[in-house]
Amino acid sequence: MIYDELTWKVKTLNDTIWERRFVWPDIQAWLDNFADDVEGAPSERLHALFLLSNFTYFNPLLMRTLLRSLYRDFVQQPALIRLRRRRKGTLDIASLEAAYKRVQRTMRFVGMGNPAESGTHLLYYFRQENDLPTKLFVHLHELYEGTARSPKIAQGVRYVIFIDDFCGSGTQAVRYSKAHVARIKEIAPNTKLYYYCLFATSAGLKKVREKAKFDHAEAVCELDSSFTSLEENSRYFRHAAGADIDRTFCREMCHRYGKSLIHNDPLGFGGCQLLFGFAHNIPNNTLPIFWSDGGIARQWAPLFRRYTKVFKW
Amino acid sequence: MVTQDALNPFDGVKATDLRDEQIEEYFVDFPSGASLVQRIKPAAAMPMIILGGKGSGKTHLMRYISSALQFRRHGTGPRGIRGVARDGYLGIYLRCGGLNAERFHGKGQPAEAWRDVFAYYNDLWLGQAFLSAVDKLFGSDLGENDAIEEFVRRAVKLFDVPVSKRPRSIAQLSKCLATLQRDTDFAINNSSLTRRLDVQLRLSRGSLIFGLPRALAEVASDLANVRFVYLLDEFENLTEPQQQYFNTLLRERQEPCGFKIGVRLYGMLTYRTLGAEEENREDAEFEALRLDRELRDRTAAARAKFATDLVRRRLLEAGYVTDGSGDLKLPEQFVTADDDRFLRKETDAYRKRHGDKISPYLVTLRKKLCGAKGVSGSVPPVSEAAADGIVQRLRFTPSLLVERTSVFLFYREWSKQCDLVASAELIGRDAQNFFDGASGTPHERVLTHYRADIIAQLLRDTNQRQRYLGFDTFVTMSGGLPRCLLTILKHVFTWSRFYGEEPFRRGLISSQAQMHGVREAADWFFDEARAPGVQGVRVRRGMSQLGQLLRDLRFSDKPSECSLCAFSADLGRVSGAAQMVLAEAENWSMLIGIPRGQRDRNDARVDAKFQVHPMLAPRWDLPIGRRGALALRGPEVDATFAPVRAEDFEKVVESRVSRMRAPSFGRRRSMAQERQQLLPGLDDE
Repeated sequence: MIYDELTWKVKTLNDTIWERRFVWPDIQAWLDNFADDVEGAPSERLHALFLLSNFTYFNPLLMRTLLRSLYRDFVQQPALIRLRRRRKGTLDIASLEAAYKRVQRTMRFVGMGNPAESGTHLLYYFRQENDLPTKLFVHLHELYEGTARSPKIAQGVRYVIFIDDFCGSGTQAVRYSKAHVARIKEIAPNTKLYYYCLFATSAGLKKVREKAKFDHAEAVCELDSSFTSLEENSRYFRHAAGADIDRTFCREMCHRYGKSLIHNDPLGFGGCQLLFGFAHNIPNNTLPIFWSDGGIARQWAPLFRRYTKVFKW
Repeated sequence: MVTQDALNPFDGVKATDLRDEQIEEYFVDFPSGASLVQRIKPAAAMPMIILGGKGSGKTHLMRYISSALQFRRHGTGPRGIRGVARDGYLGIYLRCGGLNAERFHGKGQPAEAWRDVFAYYNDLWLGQAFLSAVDKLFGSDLGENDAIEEFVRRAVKLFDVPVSKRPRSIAQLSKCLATLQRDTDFAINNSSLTRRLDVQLRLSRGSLIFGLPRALAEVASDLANVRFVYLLDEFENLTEPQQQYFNTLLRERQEPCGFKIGVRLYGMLTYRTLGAEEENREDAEFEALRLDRELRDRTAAARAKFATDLVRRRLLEAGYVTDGSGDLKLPEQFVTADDDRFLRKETDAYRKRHGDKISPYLVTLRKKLCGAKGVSGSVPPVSEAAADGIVQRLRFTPSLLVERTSVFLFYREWSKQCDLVASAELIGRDAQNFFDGASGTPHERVLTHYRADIIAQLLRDTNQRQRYLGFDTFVTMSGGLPRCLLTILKHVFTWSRFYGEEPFRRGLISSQAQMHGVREAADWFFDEARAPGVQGVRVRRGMSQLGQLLRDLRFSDKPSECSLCAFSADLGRVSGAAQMVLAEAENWSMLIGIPRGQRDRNDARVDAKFQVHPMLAPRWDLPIGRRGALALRGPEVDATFAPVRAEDFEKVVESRVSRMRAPSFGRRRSMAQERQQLLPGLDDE
């Protein structure tokens, strides 16, 4: 019966949030990666279905909504609060709007990472959703002027805001910071550098705050350790459906299959064990059983395929 | 690649949401002689109240005989007039929900002021609806100009106070009524602020409602024999005084008018009239048509035909069939329940998975045998070896169904305190004989009555869902409510698509898609068919408790009744509160009242009898066909539907179910047996 209840839940998710990405044969093909049920033993497929029923997928509409939140909560409202405070709590909307426009002109939004990566990909929707002028969006090199020997920060730029979709372990943001942020700080110490992402694990965000040179780092949705799906304080197993679902078994199963898929990170990059995915891609911090195709090592039918980055050529 | 985006032909199940052409295309009727349109008698003088549960098809039927649909069939102008004359009626359809009836109340005004304003307002409202239908009917028929002018002249004379600008055409007259209605709306809407009701009543009660049709019939000779029928839908939206007003119109009806009132089962708040406050009586002042009962009481073949036509129209519209000529046999589109005598298809799969492992119900039986410690009046305790012997005798590996039936029979013997080992021996032999084809065996007899229940127990014991499969099952489940059938099919279709199937195009609709769809439809019905407010909560609780009781009895060791989904009770011994919940549950179609009731087994008294609506059966794994009925005593009904304390119901369940449950079968331990459990039990053979 629990299998039916989970199927029911997955269908509801599929019909609503998942935009009908799947029909059952797709899901069945993924479930078939796992071993057949054996009498008297915990069912691998049931546990896989259980994890799937807890998978959080953000469709384009939700992503756009989150991008609105990011701008409103981390950029616009804090700036407006400061401006109003400076004007002794004025209620004159026109003067505040004019002041905000002036501040806005000194902002530059930069996508985190390479132009072909997801942080940059989001900027298009970020601009649309928040009705922002295109000139506020620049490539990294456009932040500079002057010569290569004596570079300066571009005139009129006071705030550089790095946008990202996901911060898992925080490694990428720290690496990026070392490469670029430190340099900007060196050239123009008064320029404020912010790192804002849609999702971040608490550990990842902590690492960015401690090891990167951003003046401020924040995430719209912060994922605490309860999102680490297979560990003891996992939120998913807190009300797990009866005796048929066992966290320890599930962890062992995910680790075993994960090892054969992504040898170094069987439970997702940085051991994050996430059950997360976006319409445009799946973070590698999510359990590989969902997204890996097994490469040449083995055949594995992924459900939410991840498009991995190719670093070498 | 299979996608889920194919058009669901069963979307749009509410007639109010359908366009006129959809009302026409989706309408189905019983064959001539049993036709619903004939049953509703549109041209009859006697008013009719059409009672029906939500989704019984009242709106669809009333809209089908409305002028808008008549004009689609006949056209307008001279052709339309001839068509309407042939029909013998012109239907003027109105939804009472559109009145915002709650406005006509309070705001510092006396009740009689509202009564008069409401009457005046309805003359204007119905009058406009009438004029709109007539205007469309005549269209651009210039030949009728004189008659129309004369009609308008006569209509104007119906006003007690002359209208300021004398109208010359139907359109102008209608505009005049619209202006008066707007002024009245303005006065009503502002009366809460002004505490005044600045309305001038320019008409006597009913003068337009009756006067306009009379004037038209007098001047338009083609329409002289036509009845002008006001089709008032959603009557349940009116308050009691407002219903009294319409009841008065029904009572004081004048030629050539007629009334058909569509109302939910719970919606008729009063049959009283204004003034002398007389009461309208069925078959004297009005005729009643109980639509869902009407649909339920048709023969199975007629119901199946009706349902098939209903579905075929949808499939035709969505392009799943090419015409209505029967190129798609609906029952053949669905996987159906295993009809093999020994249920081989179902059980072979189980055997394949579990091999020769002892069946779960035999494990349970063994536990009960070993745990039966000197229950009063029962056999002495059973040793483990003896229990194993009994289980071995009852085991029957060639057929799970036969084996489960043996266990069923064994529990019966146990409850009669027979010699358990001897009983098991005998039942085991009978099982083999039955399987070999012998007739007249206990297995055959018990399966004649209890087959559905034993299969249900077998499914439950082997951790499988109950089977509600096949088109015919869905028709039965709809219980006379066409919307229920469409809703089941809507969900089944969605699940079928989700499972990657191509319903009604290729292959069969799988059992899993059907089971999930049915369950979703049952949940929808439970949420949808309930009264609002506190009473609705009581009905839900009462129904949940009833469902739980019936389920526990059905899946007990020794159910006393077969196919249990009904109960009977002497309502005279039931509290008022419980009676109200019962009435509400029936009005909202959660319970179906069985007209002839149930004769009490001990005396000649005929008790009221109710069946759980078959749409709800999957919620509690109940059967959809009624055979047995549980006879409940008054306090048991109270505890189920209006318990004073929560534990009242638990006691009822415990007392009822313990009688059907091994090892005690309701017997209490006596002191003697308390001592006996210290003695050695039944020894090894």
